[in-house]
Amino acid sequence: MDAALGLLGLGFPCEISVDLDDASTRRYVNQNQSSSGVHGGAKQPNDKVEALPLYTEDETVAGRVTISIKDGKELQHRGVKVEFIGSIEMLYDRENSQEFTSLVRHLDDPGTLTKQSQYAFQFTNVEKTFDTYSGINVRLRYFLRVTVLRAQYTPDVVKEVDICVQHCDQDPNANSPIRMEVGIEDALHIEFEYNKSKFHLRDVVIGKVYFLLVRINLKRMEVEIRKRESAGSGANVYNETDTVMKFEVMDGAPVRGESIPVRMFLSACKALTPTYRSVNQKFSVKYYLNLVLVDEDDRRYFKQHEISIWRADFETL
Amino acid sequence: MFIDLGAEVVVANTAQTRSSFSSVATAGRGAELSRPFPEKRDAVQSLRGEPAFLGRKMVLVLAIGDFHIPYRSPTLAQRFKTLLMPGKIQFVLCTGNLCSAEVDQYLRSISPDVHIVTGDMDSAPYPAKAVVNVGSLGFGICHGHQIMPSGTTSGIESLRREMGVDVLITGHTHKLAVWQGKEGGLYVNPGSATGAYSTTKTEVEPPSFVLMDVQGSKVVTYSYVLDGEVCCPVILCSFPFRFLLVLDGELTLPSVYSCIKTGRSACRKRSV
Amino acid sequence: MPLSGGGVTASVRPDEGRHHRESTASVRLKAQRLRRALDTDRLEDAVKIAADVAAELRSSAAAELSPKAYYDVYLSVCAELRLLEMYVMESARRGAPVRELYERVQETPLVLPRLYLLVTAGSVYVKSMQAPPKDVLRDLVEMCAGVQHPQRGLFLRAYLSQMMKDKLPHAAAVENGEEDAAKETGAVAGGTVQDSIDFVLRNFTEMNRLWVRMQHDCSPREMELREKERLELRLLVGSNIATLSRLVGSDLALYRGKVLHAILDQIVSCNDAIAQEYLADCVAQVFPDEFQLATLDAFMQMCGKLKKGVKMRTILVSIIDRLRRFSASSADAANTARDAHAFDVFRSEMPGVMRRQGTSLPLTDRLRIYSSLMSFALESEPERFEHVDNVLGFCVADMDKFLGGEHPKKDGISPRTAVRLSSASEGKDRSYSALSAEDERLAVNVLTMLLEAFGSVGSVLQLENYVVLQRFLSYDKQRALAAQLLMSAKGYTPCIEDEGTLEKLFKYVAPLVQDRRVDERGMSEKEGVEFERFDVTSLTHHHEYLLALIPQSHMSAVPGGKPEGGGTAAADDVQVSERYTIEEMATFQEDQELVAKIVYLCDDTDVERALSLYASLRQELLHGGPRRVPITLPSLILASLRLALRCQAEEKVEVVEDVLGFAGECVSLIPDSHALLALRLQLHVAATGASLGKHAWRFVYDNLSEAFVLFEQHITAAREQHTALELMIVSLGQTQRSLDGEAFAALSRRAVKHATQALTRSDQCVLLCLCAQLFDVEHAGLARECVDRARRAAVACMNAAERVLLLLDVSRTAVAVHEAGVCDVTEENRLADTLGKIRDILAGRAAKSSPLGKLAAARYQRLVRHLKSCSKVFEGLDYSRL
Repeated sequence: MDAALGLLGLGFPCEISVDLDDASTRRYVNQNQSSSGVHGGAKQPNDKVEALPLYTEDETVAGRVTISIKDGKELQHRGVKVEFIGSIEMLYDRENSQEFTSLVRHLDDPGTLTKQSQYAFQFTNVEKTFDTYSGINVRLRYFLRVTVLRAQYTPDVVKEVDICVQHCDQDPNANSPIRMEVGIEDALHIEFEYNKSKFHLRDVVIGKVYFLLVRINLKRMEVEIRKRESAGSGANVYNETDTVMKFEVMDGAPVRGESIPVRMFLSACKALTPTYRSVNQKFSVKYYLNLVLVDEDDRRYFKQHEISIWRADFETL
Repeated sequence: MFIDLGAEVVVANTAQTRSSFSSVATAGRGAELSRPFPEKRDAVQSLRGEPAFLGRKMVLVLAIGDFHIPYRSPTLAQRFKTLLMPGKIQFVLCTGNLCSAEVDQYLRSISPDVHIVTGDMDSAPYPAKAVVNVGSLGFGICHGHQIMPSGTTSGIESLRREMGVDVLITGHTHKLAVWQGKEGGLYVNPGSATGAYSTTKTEVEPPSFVLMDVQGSKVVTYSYVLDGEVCCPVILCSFPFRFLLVLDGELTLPSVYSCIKTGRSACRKRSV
Repeated sequence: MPLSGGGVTASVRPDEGRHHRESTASVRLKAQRLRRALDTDRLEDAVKIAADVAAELRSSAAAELSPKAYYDVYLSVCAELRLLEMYVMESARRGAPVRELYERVQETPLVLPRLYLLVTAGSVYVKSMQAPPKDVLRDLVEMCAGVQHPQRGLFLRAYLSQMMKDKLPHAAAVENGEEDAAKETGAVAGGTVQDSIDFVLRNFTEMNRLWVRMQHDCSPREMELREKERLELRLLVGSNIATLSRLVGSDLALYRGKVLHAILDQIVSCNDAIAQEYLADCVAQVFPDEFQLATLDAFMQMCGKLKKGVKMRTILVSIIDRLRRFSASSADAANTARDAHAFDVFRSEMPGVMRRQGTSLPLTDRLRIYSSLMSFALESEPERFEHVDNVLGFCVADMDKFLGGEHPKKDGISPRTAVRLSSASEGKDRSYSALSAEDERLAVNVLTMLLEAFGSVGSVLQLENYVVLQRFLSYDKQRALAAQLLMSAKGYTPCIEDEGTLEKLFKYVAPLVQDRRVDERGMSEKEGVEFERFDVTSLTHHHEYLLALIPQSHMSAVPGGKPEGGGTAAADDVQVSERYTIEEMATFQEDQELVAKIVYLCDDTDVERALSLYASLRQELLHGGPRRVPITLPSLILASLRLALRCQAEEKVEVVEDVLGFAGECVSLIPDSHALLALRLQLHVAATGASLGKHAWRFVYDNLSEAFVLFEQHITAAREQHTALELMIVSLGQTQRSLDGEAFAALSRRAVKHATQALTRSDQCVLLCLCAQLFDVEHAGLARECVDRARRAAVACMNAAERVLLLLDVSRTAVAVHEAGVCDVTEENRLADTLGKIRDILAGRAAKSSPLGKLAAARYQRLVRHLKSCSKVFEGLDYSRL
């Protein structure tokens, strides 16, 4: 945005930079934009990938703001402030966006800046309840916004710096396996099992598909991970379902009695996030394991089952 | 009706054999025979020590007969069959009583020159007598059942005289015998090749045959007697009759006889 | 290249060539990228490219390939994966954790390339010992279930076993302390042989299932092609068994306890004919002989559970021949085979196998199997006759089932009962169809084999089933086999000690004694001639009676027994010779001579028993009818004469008469068409009687007079008359001292009479010469008269040559009579006149020039020389006239 304005010759009279404390020792994570497509791992060249500093739930966010004025210029302002904002942005419906956290620190009183000025700031123990999330219709961000307020008809100079917030969970107390017997009468009857229903992001789905009856000519079998993002509330709910991973587990047609192993490394799926249920009443993200059988005429028989995904560890670079 | 009388003397002319004798006399090659027949050198030297015999081609004449297969014996002993290998023997003189075509075929497989006379049990049309010339010697064959009075040497001697042969081979008695007549001449009875019994006596002799090595006018006989199943003792007899009796005093008849006797006593007699 | 014959399928897969080229080219292209990635140490990329390479094995092009072409692509893929393996192996050697790679490759989304990479990584994992090989192996073998496509899965698993083959923990490695070495370097403990075996067995099972499934759901039209393709792939499956064999080494307990049962279970449960046949054969071929022996029961039980239609011949012949070769290899081996009771196993399990297969296992195959089994029985335990008999029983049981026609038995029957059933069914009306030529050949082979091995009739007679089996053969084969049985008795060791055994032997050789085939029920197709009712021993010696008493059917070869037209024996002979070729006649003669030799198989140590045996033998021989009796009976007659001589030696005088009587009866049973033979034998009986001493002398006269009767009644041909008379005169001379004067006088008178009545002058002369020598001094007149008559006959001869030879004969006879002191031939110048006549003829011009004349002259000279040399004896002779 800066660059674009600069090109118009309307460039800001000052440059704002934010240096967070411990920047050199801090952990960073990749925060890609809403990724669609099957394989999260396969990056598209124009995907915007940023390395964001990682903060935990109530970590203090502190740093210094530096405002540089070009030589020989001066800048009149009506005050400098820095905000810490947590927001949920509805990409399709800006109006429904919401800032659920907003803290302000005033850094300078109105005056004139003639040279480079530095201000330290600190948001002590600020509460960061949610994970940073970047989906298709919705985005949850945490960011610092530095604003140099200007005269009435002059646009403020604003600088936003995103940070990433992640929460780690403990092993779930109850993690029952998924077992199911499904079929089409007199055509196909299978029994399948996944070892648990709650997986962490780098977990391995281990399972087994047992064929009790096979009367159709199968060609292959896959396990898919489907992601369902629901944004909004009430009448304005936008649901988006996306297959984030496709994993072939069987080639060819089994005979009855055959048991096919499933072992799927979730780490292969870069688009995976933890399951989010009703984040601030605004959105939720759910995941499903979908077992798909494909017959010789490319008909697909499937059975999906919700799983929950949690974060066991920070996914740092 | 000439045939009735003429048939009693069948002359097999072996002039060819005779001439080949003189031609190979200086060839210096020893006999081709390998075991189980005695080496010519050993046989001759041990008996005569006369080097003049060496280098001559050995002519082997087999005297055999009285098989009585299948009438009195099931088969010729395997030991004999292995001894009588085809190709070793020039003449087979058979005293008859083969009784089966099988034996006839067998004899003809041993040698190309086979002469058979009829025995009292033969139904095949063999002649009653035959004369075969080998080297410079005449060999006569007759089964011998026709000789009257039977079992007398005078009858046999009379027969040899009548046939005008040097060596007379007869059978019928089933008793191996090799002897020289008072008037000269060699008499050979090869006995029964199968050890068949004879209806005229209660004793049974072991299977036997006689092999003769003919060198010009000299004959060395080898008698083969099957003792049991295994061993086949060889009795050596040299008959220096005619010239040898005169020219060579070394070998006298008694010694030859004793030779036969010793050999014989070594043979186990089979009871009926 | 274990696969072959793919070319044939080209017509079925028209685009195969193109697909093959595409696949190969694609692999080659990707392989270049793989090499580059590895060269620049970009492992992550390399894994992805390698997955891409492996994915060629399930491309749409690859799906169109025949097994052979697919194998080709597979090989090139393997070669590329080998590069990855080597790279990873190298980094693992430097300490890089293999686990990471092992997990990373599993992120590959497609299952087939994923598993190829997993196996590749797994092989390094096992080799590096960074994880227990057991776990890795188990994981791999389980994960490979992901490929259920038969051909692709089979190759994947082949890749698995190929990659692991040299990395499996085996007994040798553990013993060599590799385990300890691994511990020192901090790696995990190596696996055990057990683990390896588990792994291979599991993989083998899965491979076999995939292999079997190749043929599922294919149309009957495709069936043949699929079968062919499957056969091309069989080595992939079979190589597992070879691997197992290597792993098991010499550990029999391990083999028996674990490996074999797993394999056999799999063979049975896969329920597929091709797989069962191939794998069973593999087991039979691959594992060592000792193992085969020790576990034969399990193997045979498995065979009993195989699918119908499996080529049991291949499997069973394979295992049996193998064990046979083993038994034959050394004495120790033979002992091992014996101790393992291998044959007993075959015996108890074979019927089950056969029952299971039912009609889907043809008789020919069964006989081939039995043929092998027979070789085995003869090779391993030749002294166990019951083994041989069991095999024959199998043959009989199956023939009964297969040829038995209308009411085949539903339940299997044990060979023993089969025999009983078929012999019990003799009376019932059960018809059998004929054996095919091949089946017959095999059956003959089975029987011949044991004949050669036994070389003894006595042993063969102990077999229950031999004769039953023989009855299924055609007449010609039965006859040839019977002849062979008799020929097999090389040493003619007596083996028949009682009538029962003799009767049995004649059942065996019935085809030689009867003109027709003996069927399965043991009945001759010809109506049996009932000799049994005819008690020969009750006959007197008299010829007339004998002829009257013998049923006509004896004398005739024509079934039905009524003499037709001139149905005499002689007429029969004519018919016979018309019916048969010379060759057949010769064979017939040979066969009957073999029958004649049966008498030498009879044990004659005990004279009385021998005599009763001989009586039974005669009964049996008489079944042969007038064609055979003249050939078969003389041996028996002469053997009984020998028995008589032995009685004498053993001083069992009382038996002698019986024996001689028996012999005489036998002679009278010789048909009149062979009167000369009968006469010869009769004379031998007489001669024997003469040799035995006074108590037997009555037989001499009886038999001689019998001979005269024969001569007078039945010998008509001139040549035969001469021969017969000659023999009679000679016999008379020999037996003279055992005849009383009156008897001798009668017989000799008759002989002279017959001699005088001979047809030709020469016959008369020669025979009279013989007669002349019959007489002693007391009958000098008769001797003289004979000589005179002989001379008269000679002189009356028209032909000069004949005359001179006959005269020479007369002179020789005269000299002999004179020398014997019977009569003086010099009286009345008898001898001198005769000699003079000879000299006169020889002096003639014709005689001098002919060879015969010279011969006669020489003979004359010898005679004269002899006369001169014993001038004392011939005092009365006028030597001046010689």
